[in-house]
Amino acid sequence: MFPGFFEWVWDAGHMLFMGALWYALAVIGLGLTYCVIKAAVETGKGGGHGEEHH
Amino acid sequence: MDSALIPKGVRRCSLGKFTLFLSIVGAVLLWGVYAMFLCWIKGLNQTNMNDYYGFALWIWADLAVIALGGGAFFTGFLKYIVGKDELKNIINYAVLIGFICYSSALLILAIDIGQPLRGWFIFWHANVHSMLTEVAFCLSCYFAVLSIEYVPLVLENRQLDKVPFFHNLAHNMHGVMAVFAATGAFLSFFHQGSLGGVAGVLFGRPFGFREGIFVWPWSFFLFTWSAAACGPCFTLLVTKILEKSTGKKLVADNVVELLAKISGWMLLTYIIAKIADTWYWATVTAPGMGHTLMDFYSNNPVYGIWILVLEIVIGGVVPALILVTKTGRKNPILRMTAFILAVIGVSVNRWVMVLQVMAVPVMPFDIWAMYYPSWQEVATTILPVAYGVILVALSYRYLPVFPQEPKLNPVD
Amino acid sequence: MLSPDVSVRMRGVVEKCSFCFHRYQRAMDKAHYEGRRELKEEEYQTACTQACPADAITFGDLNNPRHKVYELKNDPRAFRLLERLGTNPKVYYVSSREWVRRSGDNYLKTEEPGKLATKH
Repeated sequence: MFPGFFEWVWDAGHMLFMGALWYALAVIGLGLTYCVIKAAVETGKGGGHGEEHH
Repeated sequence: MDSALIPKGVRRCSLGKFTLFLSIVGAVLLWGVYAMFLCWIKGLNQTNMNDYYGFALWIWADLAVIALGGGAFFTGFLKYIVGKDELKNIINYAVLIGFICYSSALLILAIDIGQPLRGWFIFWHANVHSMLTEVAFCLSCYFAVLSIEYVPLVLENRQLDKVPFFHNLAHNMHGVMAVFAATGAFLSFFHQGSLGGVAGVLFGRPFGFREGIFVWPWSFFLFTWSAAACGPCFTLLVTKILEKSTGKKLVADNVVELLAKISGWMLLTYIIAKIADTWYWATVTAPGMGHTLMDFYSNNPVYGIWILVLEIVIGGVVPALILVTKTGRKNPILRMTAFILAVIGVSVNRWVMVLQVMAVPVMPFDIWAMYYPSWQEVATTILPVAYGVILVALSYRYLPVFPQEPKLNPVD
Repeated sequence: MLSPDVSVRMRGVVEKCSFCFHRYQRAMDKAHYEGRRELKEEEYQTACTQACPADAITFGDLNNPRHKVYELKNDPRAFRLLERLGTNPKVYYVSSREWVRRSGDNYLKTEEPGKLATKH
């Protein structure tokens, strides 16, 4: 839950816990979004780099 | 028949044999699923839990499986953050095992809460001062991270890789993987720890209670440490089991020995800390609450001092000493023994810190709460194992899980 | 009892003692209308206190010096369950028998009655 919601309290517990949580979720979400968008852009441009073997 | 799906450069058994294997494990899985639906439809009275003792067999399985899945976050941390590049040859499998372990944990929790449709309560009506809220959030976030780490492996399936978007997506995800690994390590540190915190903050239960620092009892750090130490042991153990069943060498010796060495030192440092913490608790904390050590290990049919010896000496000191020595690591039998003992040790630790804590009498006039699991609990505990075997089998057959496999098993 | 005050579950399933919270609410509402915040001892009493024919239960505000329970809690015969764990229960028991008082908590064999090895 977020600030502005009824149960939200501006205390150390809420700020620390929810702050760290939303931070971690943001990192994951943004990272994933970046990957998907970059992949879509690359696919549109070059149609992939062919089969690469790692 | 399915050769188009099998990775290049490796050999797999016939589809008929594979299907037969899957159907046998599938039958066990279905038994577990049946028990699961019984619990959901008829309620938690299908277990032997009651108002006095509310922890079932599966909750031990839940904690043990999370501890054993710690190989994923720790190996990821070692590979992407510390830079141990050889571990790239086992990281895929570690992530797969982690994925299985955490999805099993979430499944067990869905059964344990009795009304899984209300599972969103803990997220929306979060008690920010609770250790379990912390566990629920971090576990779910970390499961998301594990899924993100597993997806590129799935996309590397020969047929899926041909789709340009999937190929690019897998490539980009690999590029950013260090960020996910770091977030995963951060989340794991907290949820592994909070599971230890659950028992450690119980100042009304002297058996579980520990002193600590700020809001965190020492058991918080000990749980994270033991997960980091024993998780890789479990990964290596399951690698060996897979090698034995497929008849192939999947990971080179130097990789196994490196991870075993790191795990051994983590285990040794952990067990020293654990012994110190247990000593302090037994001689200072518990007597301050009116208990001697033997109060917790007598007057009941099961919990004797043997469980303490099993957890710390047999499940901790012995495997640690084996794995820190070169002879121990290089000898396959000793190494395997060490892995098995470490896995036993961490599992017993989770049992003690959850199930024994709740069994110890609270009031001076109480008796021990002895309990045995119902068949539904046993079935739902075996369910994740069957599910894990199936997912490993499918992943091993169709995905390039082990990069070294073609080199170690040349196919002419 | 099927009154919603004492049994919030269906079919009259009883939960834990609520110290007759419904009576507390009514007393506080009345005090609020009269513009005060403090409750007099006789305004809020639990049903069990009033029902007991032996007057075995005394109920009130432990923090209010004007209530009887305030002096009773300092009585040398008073004790609480598991006192040294710091759970701070609000139910005090009074007994003139030493063995009854001692059965309310865990003690080491070396601890004399009334003298704990460590402070709590």
